Amino acid sequence: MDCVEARRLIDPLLDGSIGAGEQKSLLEHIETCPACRAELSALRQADEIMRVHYSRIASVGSDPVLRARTTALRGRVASAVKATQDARWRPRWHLRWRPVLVALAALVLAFTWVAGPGTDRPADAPGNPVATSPPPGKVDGSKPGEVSGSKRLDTGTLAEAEEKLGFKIPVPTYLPSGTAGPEVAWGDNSAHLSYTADASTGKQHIQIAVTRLQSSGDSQSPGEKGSDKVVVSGVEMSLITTNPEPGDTVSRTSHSLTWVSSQFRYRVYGDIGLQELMKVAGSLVTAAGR
Amino acid sequence: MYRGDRRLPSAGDHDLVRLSLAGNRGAFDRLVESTMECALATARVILLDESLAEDAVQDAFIRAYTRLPTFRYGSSFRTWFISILVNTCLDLRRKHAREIPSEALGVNLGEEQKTEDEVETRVDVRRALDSLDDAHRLTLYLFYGLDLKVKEVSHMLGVPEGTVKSRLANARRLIRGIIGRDP
Repeated sequence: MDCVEARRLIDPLLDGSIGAGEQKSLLEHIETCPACRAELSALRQADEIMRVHYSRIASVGSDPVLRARTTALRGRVASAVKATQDARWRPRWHLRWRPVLVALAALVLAFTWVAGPGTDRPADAPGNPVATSPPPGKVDGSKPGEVSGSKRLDTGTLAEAEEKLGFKIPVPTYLPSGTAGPEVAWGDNSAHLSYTADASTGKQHIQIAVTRLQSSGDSQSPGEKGSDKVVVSGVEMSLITTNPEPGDTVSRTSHSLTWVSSQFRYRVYGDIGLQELMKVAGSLVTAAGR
Repeated sequence: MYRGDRRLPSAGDHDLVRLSLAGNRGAFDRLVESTMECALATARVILLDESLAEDAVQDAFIRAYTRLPTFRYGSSFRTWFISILVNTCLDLRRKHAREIPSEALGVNLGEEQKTEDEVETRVDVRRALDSLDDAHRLTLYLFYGLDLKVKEVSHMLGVPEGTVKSRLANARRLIRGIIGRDP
């Protein structure tokens, strides 16, 4: 080893990023070269000075004021964590009653649809509106599955969705630890899976939409405005990142990955971080390919 | 006394994470206790405001607790937590648009000085390190102060490992220049 090569390796040695073979060669050279030995010694001394300097900063030391503040903060953090723990272990009544609430909401929606404006049924029509309602789309001329121009989704189990849609709905084989779900909804040609990624707080979500494309024009890869391209599990996907704006109810950055494969469009959306979302999308690619 | 506390005295940080995930309330308190000192020092270094630093530390511990199921056991809890804390602090700093003043990283210097030469060198070293920009100083603090690896610093700051290495190399030569002047 010559001096030029030795000088190049001194910083990796001090960084801890040098390979074993290079380290051995460097140390052999240092043994025989006073100039390089002096260089290493000087840089090691500089290293040690900085280590002492920054270690002192990283320590509260014996300052009684800082010690007292640290102790007080420890108490504050313990209380805050305990409050979070209590919330985590508290029975979550709204989750237990969610199916009932969804059914009630569907009932109200159906009633509004049947008895609302645009129909020949009086608003205060008696009887069970669901049992007497005409088939969807026959009341106001809208297409099946639509109510006043907006998509109406049915909810149920994955098996029910597959039976109604007539195709197998792939589910991701990877989900972050602690994920709950899915809740399943479907429309005319699409299935929607909703997961709560952090079930303890209910603050993070993953949503998956699988849409069967109807025409050849739909099979083009979606070139959404402002999207980037990423490749996950060998599939090119459109990536859109959404950052929360001041005043938004969401506080986290969310990402959306969209791709088209075999007459289906897949969209994976969530606020669990891009790396995790890409893992979920990758596992969905694998599941869909089976 | 929380359920399962008798298991804690000999538990390592990974054991404490597992216990905490299993519902042991004292386990996370232990993790807080062992990490608090360097957490607060780190937040002070980045934010330079005692109240903001304490808020950031509290917020980061809550975030760490809620994200505990995502801990992968590939690093220590301390390294994983400091990563969350650094991001929390940088977010807060951007929000408050604060700049690190020049005296920021020298809070505990000036102790154990013996001779005039040493005092002079220490002052020069401090002045030289304070003259570096925020990114350099935070890199040096994480590497030397918290004894993190180049890869960990790179991950925390979102910069390539080569950038971390070049910042370390620059700082070594800066300090060598100062101590090299001594007779």
